[in-house]
Amino acid sequence: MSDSFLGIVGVSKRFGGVEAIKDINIEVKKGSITGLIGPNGSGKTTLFNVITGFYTPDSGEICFKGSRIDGFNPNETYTLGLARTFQSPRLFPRLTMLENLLLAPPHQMGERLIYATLEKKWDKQERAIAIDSKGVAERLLLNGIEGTLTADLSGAHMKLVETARGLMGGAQLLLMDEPAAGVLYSTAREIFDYISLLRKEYGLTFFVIEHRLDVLLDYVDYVYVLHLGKLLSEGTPEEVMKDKNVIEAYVGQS
Amino acid sequence: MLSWSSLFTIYSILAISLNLEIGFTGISNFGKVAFYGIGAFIAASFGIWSFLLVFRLAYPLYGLNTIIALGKIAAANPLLNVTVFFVSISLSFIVAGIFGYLITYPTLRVGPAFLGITVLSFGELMRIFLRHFKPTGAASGLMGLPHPFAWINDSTMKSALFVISALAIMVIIYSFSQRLVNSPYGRAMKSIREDEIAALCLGKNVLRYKAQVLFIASGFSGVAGALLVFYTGFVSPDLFVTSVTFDIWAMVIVGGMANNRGAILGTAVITFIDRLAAILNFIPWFPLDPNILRWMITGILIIVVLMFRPSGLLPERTLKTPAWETIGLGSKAISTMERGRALVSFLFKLMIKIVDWFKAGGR
Repeated sequence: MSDSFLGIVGVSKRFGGVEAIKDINIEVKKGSITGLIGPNGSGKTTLFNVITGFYTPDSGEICFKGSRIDGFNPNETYTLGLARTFQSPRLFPRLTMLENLLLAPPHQMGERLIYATLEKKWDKQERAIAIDSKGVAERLLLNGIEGTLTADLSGAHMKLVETARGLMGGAQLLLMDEPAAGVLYSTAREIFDYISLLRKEYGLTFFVIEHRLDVLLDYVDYVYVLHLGKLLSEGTPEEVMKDKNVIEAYVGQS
Repeated sequence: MLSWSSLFTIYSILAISLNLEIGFTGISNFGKVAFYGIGAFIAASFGIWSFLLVFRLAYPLYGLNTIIALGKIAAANPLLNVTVFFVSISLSFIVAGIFGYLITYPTLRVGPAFLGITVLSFGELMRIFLRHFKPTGAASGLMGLPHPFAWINDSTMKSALFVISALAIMVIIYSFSQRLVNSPYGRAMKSIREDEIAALCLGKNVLRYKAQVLFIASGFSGVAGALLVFYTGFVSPDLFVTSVTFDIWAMVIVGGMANNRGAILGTAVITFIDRLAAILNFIPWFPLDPNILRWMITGILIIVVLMFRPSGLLPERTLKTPAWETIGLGSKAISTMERGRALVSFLFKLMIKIVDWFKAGGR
């Protein structure tokens, strides 16, 4: 596990009598795009919630950059460099696009109560963040809509803003829950083009849930398949697509 | 006019503090009155007890003699009196703030509706508790807190001075709130209002923010309560019924959520209606009970505002932080400092006008 960036060892989570995920072992390598697929209800989003700290795992260990993060709160895992996006974008609708980006960087002086009213204390940092946000917005072709409320943005823009927020926050690992859900086929490819571009430029690592296998499998390095809360298969896209169990889980027994 | 401006000042503070909670952070505080009441009772009991203890008086807490004796002492010791005034206000801030922090801490983990109901019932429970609590005068309340400017003989001058100092406190609270919300802190507050989970995912410690906002806002309500007690000179548990909370809500809704100036405007409108009703009380042939009329007007006003300007008379604005200038947008934005100065000078001029008006003999 030397080059493992995010390591999940034997993680289980149960809700009452239902075992949502059972004994999962996953390893995400630094700088990779790792996919996570599986039929509906197979526990993909639950796994993400466990990693980011919304749920505490019942058993098992989660390591990020060599230190254990299971049992951390979502805000703590975020400051460690673990950002996530949601299936349906969770932006702050009545805030402008710029403010959405400015909210992302952790450790802002002006977000502490004692400094908040002393503009001198945080003025410099705020301006630096603003310049950063301008760069990120230009990179993702979001410039020009800084003053728009995010409630008025289009669906594709919302997805981009969410990704931009991850970049702004200095995330090293981005957990993306269906980044291409509900967009056109061509847009889905564009989004994944961006993902691989960002990986090169920023040296980011991606862990992506996606239902569109045709798109996903062209871009990922390694895929994990979940089925009914258990790890069904893993391997490179080619290996996984040949796996009988996977085909069975998706299209049923032949 | 004077009674309106005192009322206006006190309620402005309450409206601003509620606006910090519901407008900016999305905490539905239906128990505003509890913290208002705590502030009032802390100020009154601290004031009266400190006079009684300092001068080793054995008067009963409640009685005509006590009121007269305290009045005499206050008139003879201006310095002590003013000190008591300011110390009780700061004490009210701290105690009400701590109560706000404590009472809401266990409830913050649940949804907004539960929080609202819990705090609402806390307000009622506190009122009932105070009705039976002997050291603060039980149901009859506390009387005889001397006016902070009791050594001045001219009664209008006395009230004018009180209004001015209350206004000064309000301006301090207003500018503090303005600066607080126009900062990254304010931005984080708004993000919590918009989407708690997303805010948590961006590393914001939502619980801490909420507890801090409740501390500050409840503290401000405590200050308002202290001012009320120094204004009326007496306090009773029955002043703090639940409907006061909804008055403050009406002010914030009419004025505009997440806009402090809107909250002040809303307060001006609602307190004006209140005073208008008080004036109508003196007209014998008026066919309706003015108090009922007051509720009716307020209700109609809320409906009209919600129909035609759902976000209030002064709607929410984008926060102004230096970020906008940096990326080349919003260069027109005036810094908060300058706006604060402009407001202070405006209020100062207004005060001079008010004092002149009284020197000319009123009306």
